[in-house]
Amino acid sequence: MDFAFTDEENRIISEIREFIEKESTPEMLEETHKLERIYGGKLGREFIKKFASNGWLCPSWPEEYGGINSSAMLTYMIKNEMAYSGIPALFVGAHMAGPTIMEFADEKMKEKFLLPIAKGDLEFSLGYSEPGAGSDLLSLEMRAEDKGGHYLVNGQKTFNTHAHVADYHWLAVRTDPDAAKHKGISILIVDFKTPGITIRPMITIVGSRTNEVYYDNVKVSKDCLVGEENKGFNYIMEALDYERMFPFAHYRKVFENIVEYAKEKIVHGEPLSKKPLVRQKLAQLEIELEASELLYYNLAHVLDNGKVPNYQASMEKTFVCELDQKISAVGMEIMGQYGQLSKGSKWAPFDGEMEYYYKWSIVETIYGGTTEVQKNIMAQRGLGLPRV
Amino acid sequence: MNFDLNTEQKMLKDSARNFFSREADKEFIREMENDEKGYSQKMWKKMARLGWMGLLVPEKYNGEEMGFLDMTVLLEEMGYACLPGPFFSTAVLSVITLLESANEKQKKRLLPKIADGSQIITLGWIEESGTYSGKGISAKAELKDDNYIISGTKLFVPDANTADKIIVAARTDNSPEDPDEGISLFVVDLKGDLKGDLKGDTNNKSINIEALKTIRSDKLCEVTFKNTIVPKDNMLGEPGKGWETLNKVLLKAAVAKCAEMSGGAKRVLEMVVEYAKMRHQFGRPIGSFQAIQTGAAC
Ligand SMILES: Cc1cc2nc3c(=O)[nH]c(=O)nc-3n(C[C@H](O)[C@H](O)[C@H](O)COP(=O)(O)OP(=O)(O)OC[C@H]3O[C@@H](n4cnc5c(N)ncnc54)[C@H](O)[C@@H]3O)c2cc1C
Repeated sequence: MDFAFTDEENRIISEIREFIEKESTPEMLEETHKLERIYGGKLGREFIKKFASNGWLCPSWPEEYGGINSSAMLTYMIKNEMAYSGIPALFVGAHMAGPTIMEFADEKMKEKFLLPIAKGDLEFSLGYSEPGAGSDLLSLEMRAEDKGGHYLVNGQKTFNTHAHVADYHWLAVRTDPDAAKHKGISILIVDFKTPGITIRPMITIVGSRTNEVYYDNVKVSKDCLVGEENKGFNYIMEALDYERMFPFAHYRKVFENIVEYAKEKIVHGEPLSKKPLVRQKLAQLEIELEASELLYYNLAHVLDNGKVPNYQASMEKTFVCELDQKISAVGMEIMGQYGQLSKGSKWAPFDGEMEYYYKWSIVETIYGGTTEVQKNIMAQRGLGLPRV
Repeated sequence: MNFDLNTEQKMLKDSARNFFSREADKEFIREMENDEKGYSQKMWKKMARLGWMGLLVPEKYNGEEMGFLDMTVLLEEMGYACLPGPFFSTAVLSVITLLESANEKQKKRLLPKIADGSQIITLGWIEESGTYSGKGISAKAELKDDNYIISGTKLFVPDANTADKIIVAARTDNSPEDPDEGISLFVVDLKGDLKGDLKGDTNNKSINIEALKTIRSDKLCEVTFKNTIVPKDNMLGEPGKGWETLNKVLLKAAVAKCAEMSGGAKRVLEMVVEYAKMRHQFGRPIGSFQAIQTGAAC
């Protein structure tokens, strides 16, 4: 067992740190923030292309597809470093669709998408959820009818984040309504510019935007089918295990800010950090943050050993997202009256970050599969408990 | 021990529930989040006509003279309705402070105007320390002839942006042995529309009010006094004894806030349960999953 990163990994991370410091301008950050934390705008796209030109977006991929043949560990480290720096760190193309394409798609599709994904030229929006299919993804109904040369797609998706700024839709559809639920789903890659697609905003508690997407007789070429028809659910399950690689370092940063606040805020002649109650809470969070670090990097370790993390991904996702809520709640307590102040308020510590991340932490335990669903997976696949 | 509401309280509860379900729907509440004032004057007048602003005000000042328990019944409904606006600062914080500290003349001047809905009054006590404690108060009030000159900054003052008056806690003694001593309370006019001995400062340019942006878009303000002139008759209670009053206010206000929050919590739980019955996943209501049941039950 070895808990240390290699010198090479550390070297690349410090290079990346420097790069981010130099290249991520306030204007670019503002733009990505407005676009729901995606490099979809002009400045963001420029940034991510430059970043990706070093092979940092999909480092574990082979060189022919734009990677640098690195360990999965490095991918995880990079993603966490991005999260720590407060720049967007979730990628559908690079970290969900991409790996699935690599594993299941035909050569033509690999040629078309992998290199552009790794170069930061393209981004996807995840098209799984529907009004009647959230946790119960298998119940999805969006219909893709086989019309010979193409599919005719009709139906509605909900919560498809970034659909309004991404290039392609990673779309789960029902291709065989008569088969068992898990045997009639396929994945299509649809260009958002295709006629018949309507995108409408859904605004979340944080004020961020996700989308409803309507398909009205949309013609999609059969070339857009990923892998085999009706095998989509297997692909989704696998991609979800990738999606659940949740970096934790954005909340490590929030935590560090809370610690700094506690050290600097003088109340009645004494810093808050001298209060036993405050110290206890902060110490507890540090313990849990270190635990989440181990859970997170263990996923990379599993991948580097040629396996796909499964219940381990659920475990990590749950632990990290629940911890984010704890960090936020403690931060709100410690900052007291000041914690409630929003961005732009003169008195807001860290420019209102606390209340923003407090609300964001609510969203985190939902997307990518809720805490309850993750625990069910843990119970069944991890612990072998009977299904109910 | 009897946990049942009496007939009067039941009526109050029912009329409040009906009133808010009619007057304060979701759209209204969202609208108020973005509204500069954060409340509707029309609705405020209606609430006053129902006697709610003066619920705790004695009859001789044109109030309803009901008890604190009655007030908690009403507050629970306000929490249930997620009602925005200056009710809490005016009818709870300020009324309690005035009842605890004002003299007869001051009560006669101020309480009827609260009761009839014509005046909004708030309380400014917290400062930069962010705590409810005498130690945290450093705003100063210096006596000069017949006036006090007040300087200092109050934070997180609810509804100061719409209030007609503010009750301010300021130090009349800068170095008392006990930091809870030496604090006095003053009624300060924010709009200058009162006549007589409570007319207040005529130069209220000396007061700067700035609403702070908050997580729930309520109207918490920073209120800065810079040599604000306040007639000495505007002092509430004895000089130096302001914290004694505020301490009592704090305890009652905490109970009142709990009533409001428990009303809010009740509504949230109702929404959760309703949704858990209605929303189906995996071919059954999500409320049939024990993960949801245990979550909702405790
Ligand atoms: C901000 C945000 C962004 C998102 N982005 C995307 C996206 O880009 N693409 C996409 O396809 N989807 C996206 N989603 C959707 C997300 O995946 C779903 O919200 C999530 O899977 C839960 O589904 P639901 O919201 O329908 O909740 P439901 O499935 O209705 O669940 C409601 C409650 O019931 C519980 N529950 C459900 N089933 C069980 C069970 N079997 N046992 C115990 N408890 C259960 C849940 O834990 C939850 O508490 C996003 C969601 C959010 C909030």
